[in-house]
Amino acid sequence: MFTWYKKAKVSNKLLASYIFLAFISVLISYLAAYQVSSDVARESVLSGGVLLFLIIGLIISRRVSKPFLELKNLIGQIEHMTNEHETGDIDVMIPEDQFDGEYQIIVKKINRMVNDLVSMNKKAMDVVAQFGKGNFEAPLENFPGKKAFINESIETLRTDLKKVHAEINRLIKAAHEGRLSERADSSEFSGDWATLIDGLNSLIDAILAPIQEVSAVLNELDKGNLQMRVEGNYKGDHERIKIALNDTVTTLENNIKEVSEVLTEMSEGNMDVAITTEYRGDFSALKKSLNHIIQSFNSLLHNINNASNQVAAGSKQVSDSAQELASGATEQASSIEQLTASMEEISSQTDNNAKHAGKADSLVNVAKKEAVQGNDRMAEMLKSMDDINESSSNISKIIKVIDEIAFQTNILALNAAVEAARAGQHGKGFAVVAEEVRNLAARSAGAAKETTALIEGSIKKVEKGTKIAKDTAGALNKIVDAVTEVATSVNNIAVASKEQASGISQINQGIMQVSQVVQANSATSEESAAASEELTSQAELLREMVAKFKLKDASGQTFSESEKISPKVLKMIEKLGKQENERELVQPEKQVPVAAAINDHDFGKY
Amino acid sequence: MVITTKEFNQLAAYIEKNYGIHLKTEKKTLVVGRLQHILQEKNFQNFTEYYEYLIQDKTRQAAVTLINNITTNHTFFMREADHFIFFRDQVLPFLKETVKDKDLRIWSAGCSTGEEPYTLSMIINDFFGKEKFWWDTKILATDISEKVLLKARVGRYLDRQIETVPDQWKQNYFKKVNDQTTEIKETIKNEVIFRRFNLIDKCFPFKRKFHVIFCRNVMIYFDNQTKNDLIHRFYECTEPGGFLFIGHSESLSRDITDYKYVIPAVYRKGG
Repeated sequence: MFTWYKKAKVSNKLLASYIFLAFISVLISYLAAYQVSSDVARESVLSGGVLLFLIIGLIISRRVSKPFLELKNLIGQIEHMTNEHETGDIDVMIPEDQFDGEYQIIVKKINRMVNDLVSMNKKAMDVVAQFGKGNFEAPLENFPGKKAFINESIETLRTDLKKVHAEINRLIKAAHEGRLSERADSSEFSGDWATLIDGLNSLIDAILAPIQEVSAVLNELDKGNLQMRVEGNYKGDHERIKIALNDTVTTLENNIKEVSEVLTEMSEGNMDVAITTEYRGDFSALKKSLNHIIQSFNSLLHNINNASNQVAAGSKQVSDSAQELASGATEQASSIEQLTASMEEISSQTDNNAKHAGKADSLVNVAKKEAVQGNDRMAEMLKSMDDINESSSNISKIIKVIDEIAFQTNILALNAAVEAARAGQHGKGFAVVAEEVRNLAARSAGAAKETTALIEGSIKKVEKGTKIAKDTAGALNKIVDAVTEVATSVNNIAVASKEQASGISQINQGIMQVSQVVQANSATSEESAAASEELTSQAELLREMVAKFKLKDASGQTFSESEKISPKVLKMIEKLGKQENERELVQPEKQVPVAAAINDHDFGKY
Repeated sequence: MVITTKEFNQLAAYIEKNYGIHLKTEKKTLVVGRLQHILQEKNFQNFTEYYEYLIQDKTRQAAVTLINNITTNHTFFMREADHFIFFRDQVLPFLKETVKDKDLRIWSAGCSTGEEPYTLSMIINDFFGKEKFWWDTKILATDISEKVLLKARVGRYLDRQIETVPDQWKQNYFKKVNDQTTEIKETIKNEVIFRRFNLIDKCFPFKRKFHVIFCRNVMIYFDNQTKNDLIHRFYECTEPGGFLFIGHSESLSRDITDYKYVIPAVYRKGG
């Protein structure tokens, strides 16, 4: 405790003595107060103690303060100078004339010492100033004695500055060369220099950390990963970079997501899509382009759709017409076939006719000859009739003679009878004979009369016959004339029939040719019907494929594809479907019998 | 002669099942038109009697007659000429390069009266020239109808039928028979093997695969299933890199075949 006292400053000793005295006086006053019984008295004793203490303090301070006043002034001046120096006015000195004696000597020495120090400091500071201006080579005179520490300090500073400079230069160079992982080595430095270098390193780290994260994010971005964000907690510019990059990536992600969604929809055939959100800058070009593409696709597909509907409907019509044509041609072909058969029939009949006409012609000629011959005979007959007439008149004459003979015989018989009668009995037989003769004469006369009548009848008949024969001859002549005409006609008919036959044969040839053409036409039209049907089914397929796309309508609204098809086409499609169904219904596969194989067996080299 | 719906459906089903030819109700006229003379010849009163006769005929004559009459055989020289140009300028040079054994296998499926295989044969003859000696270029030409095969084998055509043939071919490959008719020369006739073959047969009897198959305007008479099955069989018997020619009104859907589109109505097997 006393060693502390010995070492203590004067002022402290004074303070300690003062406190000690004050303690004693307070103790005394307390002890005195304990001796008093009443409270009032105790309070007055305490107040007295304190008063005593104050009085003692006052006396002591008066005694001590005088030699201190000068000292205090000196200290004040020193303090003033120190303060001025601290505030930068290093020209301020302690005024020497304010002090006497020993104090003045002390003051002068202090002033000189301060002056020296200031001058030394100025020199040192000049160097430091040079250092500050970047001249690390600025010289410093060597200070004597222990002041040499300033040289040491300055030189240490110079070395440190140069090292820091070199280290920073190295970092700058490394930065220039892109070696961003290069750091300063703080182990070469001590104290704040080390802190500075560490600070520098952490500055670089602070600058690089966001750059590295940004770089990592950009790398991921480069790999197409749009999920990465700059997560670090950065401030200022780095924060702005972070926000900008994150915004960029978000924008990219959103844009790409939307574009991707749109494209996916498109790939699934939905063209009723568009980029609807706001795209900025160059992205707006992307949006514009994509929307334009979609628009183009829509209009293109609309056109294709319309065209394919048209083609489907058109080709249906074509195939229907082709089918009709084919049916027509086939019908035509079978009609022609029938016509050919009929013509063949006609042809053979015509041939027959010609043949018969020829036959008739020759028959007529024969008939004509016969008729002419008949006519000749008729003439001969007429002559014979005349002869008969003549013979008849000759016979008549003879019969007249016979009649006369009979008459005379009768007379003779009469005469004989008379003579017989005269002869009596003897004449009786004679009379019988005479009677018989008379009878004979009568019979002769009768016969002659009858014959005459017959001859007359005969003559009359011959006359009649002659007339008939004459008529017949006329008729026969007429017949001959007619037969000649008939012969001519029949001849004509025969010739005509032959011509007709050859005409019909030509017609037949023509019809055969027509038939061939019609057959070919039938095949052609059947083929074109089949081909156009094939086309129709393909057009239908095309239509179906295009119909799979969901399109915007002209006003930009979606429509159902089936609404767009014309009712006619729909009807056709319905009809087609129905036919298919019908076909399926009436064709149970199992009931169809299998035909005998007709393939060839040997295919040569095949 | 009329055909009732029932008769028509019965007959159409029979024809479709056995020969693949799809006859819709619109084809009643066709059926009547093409078959009525058979009924008349055979003294059938109606199509029911004819159908009974058809399915009970043990010889194949009834079927042959039916086929001869019911098929549509429309063809002409140089038909769909783009195909022949492509065949000459693209297919043949490729085959000449790639077919090492010099055995060219070309099939005219549904050859009708022979115009198509003869056209192909003439193109091949022109293309190979003297080198043809080293090649076996015989074409297989099949049809289901005996009637058209007969005509094809005879190889006689009316002058108006060969109007489309280039003059040089007329000179080189045809000879006059009379003032209306011209005949294919033997050199070309011998290059075509005509056979009867029903394309809907599930099993193709051929020894080797084909480099080129022409099946033009045949499948238009088939229904979709028959058509798809046939295309599948065609593909199976096509050499890798080989070609299939179909009619210009036809097309193959990508869904049903591995054939790749080359030009309209020409497809190719990968490889």
